[in-house]
Amino acid sequence: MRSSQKQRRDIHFVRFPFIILLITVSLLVFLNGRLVLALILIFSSLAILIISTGLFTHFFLPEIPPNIMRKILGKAITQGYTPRITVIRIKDGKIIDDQTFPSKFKPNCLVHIDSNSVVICFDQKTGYYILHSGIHHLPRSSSLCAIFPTTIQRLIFGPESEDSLSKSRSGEGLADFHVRVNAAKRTAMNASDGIVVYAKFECFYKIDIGHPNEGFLTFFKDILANNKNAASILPADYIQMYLLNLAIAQWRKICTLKTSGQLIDETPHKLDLDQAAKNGLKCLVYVSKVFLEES
Amino acid sequence: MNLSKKSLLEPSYRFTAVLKAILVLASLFILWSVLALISSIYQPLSFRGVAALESRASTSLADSLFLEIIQSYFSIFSVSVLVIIFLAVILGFLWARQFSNGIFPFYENQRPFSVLIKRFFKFSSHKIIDLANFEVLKKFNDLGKQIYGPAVIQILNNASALISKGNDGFRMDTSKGITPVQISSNERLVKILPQLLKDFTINLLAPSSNDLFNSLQFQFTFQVDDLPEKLHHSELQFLASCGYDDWKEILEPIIRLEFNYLLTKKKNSGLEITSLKQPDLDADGENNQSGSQAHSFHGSTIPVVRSRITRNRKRGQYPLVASDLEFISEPESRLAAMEMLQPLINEFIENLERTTIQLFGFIPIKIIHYEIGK
Repeated sequence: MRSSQKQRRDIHFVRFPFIILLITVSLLVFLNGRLVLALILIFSSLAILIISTGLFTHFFLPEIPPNIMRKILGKAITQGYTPRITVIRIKDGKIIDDQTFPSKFKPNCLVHIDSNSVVICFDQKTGYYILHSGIHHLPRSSSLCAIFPTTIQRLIFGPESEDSLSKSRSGEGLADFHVRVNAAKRTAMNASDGIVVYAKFECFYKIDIGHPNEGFLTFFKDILANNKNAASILPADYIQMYLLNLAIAQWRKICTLKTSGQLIDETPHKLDLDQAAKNGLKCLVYVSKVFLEES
Repeated sequence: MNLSKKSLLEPSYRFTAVLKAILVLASLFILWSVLALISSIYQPLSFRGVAALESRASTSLADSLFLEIIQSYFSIFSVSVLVIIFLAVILGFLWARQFSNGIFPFYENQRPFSVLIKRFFKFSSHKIIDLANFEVLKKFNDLGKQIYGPAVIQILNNASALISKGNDGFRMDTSKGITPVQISSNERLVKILPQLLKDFTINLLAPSSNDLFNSLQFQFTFQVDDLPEKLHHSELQFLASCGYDDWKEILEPIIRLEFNYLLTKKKNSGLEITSLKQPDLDADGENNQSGSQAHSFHGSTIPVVRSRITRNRKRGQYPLVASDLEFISEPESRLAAMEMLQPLINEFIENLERTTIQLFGFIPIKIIHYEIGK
């Protein structure tokens, strides 16, 4: 039996006698003409339940801030004897334990963000804001907009090897061939001598959470506001596409100045992406290999 | 392993724990007395409890008083309200456990109730949780469960424990399995990092055409323990999800690319290649830096022994290409080649340092050794 199922069973096992006993005793006291005593009994029992929940939760998780604790207890009060506290767990830039979560609208829940993730939320009152690691409450007026990992990511754009540009291999389907070649040709560029070269970009990046987040937030505000699929969370690969475009723009400048031979001889190149740094991204891009179309 | 119970006790909390226990028991007794008093005065449930006692004929005043007290304390009202309160507390505990487990799942071998008692009374833990086993350790790390403090955990030799201090970030226990890891009541064990890959070696192609010396071998180590406190948090944040394997996967291509980038830069500016200057030698062939040269890279000192042959050559310039090395034989030639490559290595180390700071914000590795490979 799974741990969560066992816990639910345990709760059910205790909850049922608690309610039955409380109702029975209160009713008997009431029938004996002690209405006030019956009411005191009911309210004090519920108060003990709430206080003990808060106290024990505090002992288990002392890092929970008081406002979150109030929300948990509020849920326990408003939802009666079965508080269903939804916790969205975000680990390494992804939502876990919740396969049915394409939508960014999941209000009035708790969000637990691990130390390797950062979340951008939108609140109808305060606008966009960033949530860092920890346990947060997502109020009814807020929604999740984007989730990103804060650890160093490694990306490779363009052909992995010469083989990536080769013609259709035996046994390879047409669709697979197009996927492979299109991915490899994303970095195609004309050198100054007119020859097309294909570069392999190796990109390492990290969201700079230690830095004041204004740059990062400003960068994403417009994008999030214009997100075509407004009901869903911004795809995590957005940053990848952004970095690829920046790298290609930089690579284009280099290619216009050098011949294909020079580009190959001077490999690896290091691309300077200042714009990414301004937008709160620590980034390092190398052009590790350059291939010719013929090869 | 000798681990006395005495060493695990926190004497400063012993008095507090006893006091807390007394207070809890006293509060319970007061509550019970209040209920008995209410039961005696208001008689909320009219039918009497402890019928057997009532049927006995009272023989004296003392007996009568005792019977009255017993009847009040063990009346149906008192007992049933106490049971209700007990169930409310248990239910509160179960809710708290469910909620906590939803955020940071408990390790199977740890009982939440025991954790709660220890945390409430600030008790120390005597029971050692054994994670000094690869299978158990892998399961623990993969499932993402956490061990709530206070706890004593035996970990693998040379492993490090990543411990969350709640709102105060993380700390790394660097006892490396020699003594069991102790976590206090406001901490949680997040992950154990088996430091089998703490050191790693990378072979980089050297700019030599000589068959003997076609690579440079660098041995790196992750410098987790030696980081300044202010950097520790971000370092450990990264480690929280990535083990050394993942880290190496990120760092190795950076090291290779950085080295190749430097080589290409040198190769393309031919003037630079042939004008890398050797440190000046005095007239007697003695160098101010004596026979050994030390290069420091973040605390690590790398001695490079100057060979006798090269010392006597008194050349002002050292081309990086190894054609000059063909006349010298091993092992002196290795030393000579090493010296020739020294400026390049120094520059590489500087560049690598700059790059890692740019990307990580700190220097996650240090070179502990390098030599010319075959």
